[in-house]
Amino acid sequence: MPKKVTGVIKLQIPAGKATPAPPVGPALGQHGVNIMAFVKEYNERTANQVGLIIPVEITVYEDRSFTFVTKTPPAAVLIKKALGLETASPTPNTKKVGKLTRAQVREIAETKMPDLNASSLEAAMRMIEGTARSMGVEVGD
Amino acid sequence: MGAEDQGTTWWRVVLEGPAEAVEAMAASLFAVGATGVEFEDGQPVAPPFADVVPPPGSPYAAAYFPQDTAFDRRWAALKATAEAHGWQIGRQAWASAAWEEAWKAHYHPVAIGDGYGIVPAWYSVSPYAPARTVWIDPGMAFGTGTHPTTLLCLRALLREGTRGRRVLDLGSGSGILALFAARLGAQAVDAVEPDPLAVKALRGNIARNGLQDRIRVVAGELKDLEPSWRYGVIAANLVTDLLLNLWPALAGRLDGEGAYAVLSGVTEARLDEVEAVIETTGHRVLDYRLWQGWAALVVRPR
Repeated sequence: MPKKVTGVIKLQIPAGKATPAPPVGPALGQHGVNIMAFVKEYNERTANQVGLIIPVEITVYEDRSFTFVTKTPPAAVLIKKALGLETASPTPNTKKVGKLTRAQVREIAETKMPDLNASSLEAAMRMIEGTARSMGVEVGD
Repeated sequence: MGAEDQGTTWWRVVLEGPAEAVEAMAASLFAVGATGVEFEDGQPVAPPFADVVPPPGSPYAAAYFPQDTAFDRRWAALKATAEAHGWQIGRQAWASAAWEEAWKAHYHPVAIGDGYGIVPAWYSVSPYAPARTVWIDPGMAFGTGTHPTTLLCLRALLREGTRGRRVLDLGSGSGILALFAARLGAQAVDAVEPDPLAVKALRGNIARNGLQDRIRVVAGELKDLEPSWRYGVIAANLVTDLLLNLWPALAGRLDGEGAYAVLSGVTEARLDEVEAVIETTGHRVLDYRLWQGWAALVVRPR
């Protein structure tokens, strides 16, 4: 098909639980794409990951047809899951809410590797450590 | 969205900062009860079948919260987080709407010519005669009749005719060309489509038009067709590169008196390249139409 991309929409939404309510409705609606078709398909494709937040990248083409790819869960979600945290620190510089081991950082980096713009696992680990610090999570053994 | 949400107004809260902080921004929006987050992380995307992809915008994360009593607490928490990280924060009032239905406003019946037309599936009445109406629910698939390449193809089929012929629609999408070919009197149509999402829309549209006995769906590509299958009409609305690659194989499938192919999705700038490839198989371009930078070609054996 001749396809010129007119919009790229990036969302993080709960696996298996997308609805036409915001942010899905306004984000897709302004591009004139079929929202229910997206919601149904996303929920079907992510049904086995319920409980996680799954990023999705929606590409809208010139005639308002669209396609989407789901990504690995955000690093922040995986970090909280690894530490059993409810929320990140509101003041990450002063109030620390947990500590990740190097092994945990490596595991998260391995999960995220397909979606990270990282040349090596070490580079990916540094990105995860950066996210952890911004959440008030320390890293070390 | 249920009826209880009608009339809800929202605050759209936007956090802006460096690309590497976008995940943390999104996490802080979820932390105060966001049900989803819209974001831009500055990472380029590489969608399939795309000719032109816009560059990523500046990084942000945004979420919507109802304008209710809980909002002040959420706003205060987000403001503190934004200040601690040095992110920008802003909010914007947003009225609720019937999001599920809004997109349909972009679709209208499209006249092809000779009393034939494409009608969105949710219309209760067609402006065209039943035997000249193609009902289409696009789902997520390409082929709504509104794109120049699709309409050029439909009109080429109308001019050249399909009566009594075997037709191949390669890259069928929503099935619009296959359905129209069947409405024009094709004996049998093979609709070939590799994308499983489009195949769903395709099957739905064939049933919607009651043409199951005339159209066969092949969930796959050109190479998945039986080697012996030949066609009097081939319609291929693809991208230029794909047409260049597939033409020799496609040309071999054309057979019989008056056989022709309609090739669409060619950008005007690459017309010469496509014509050169067509000549290599002993075929020639009989007629081409240009519209909005796109070309559709009618090709026959020399």
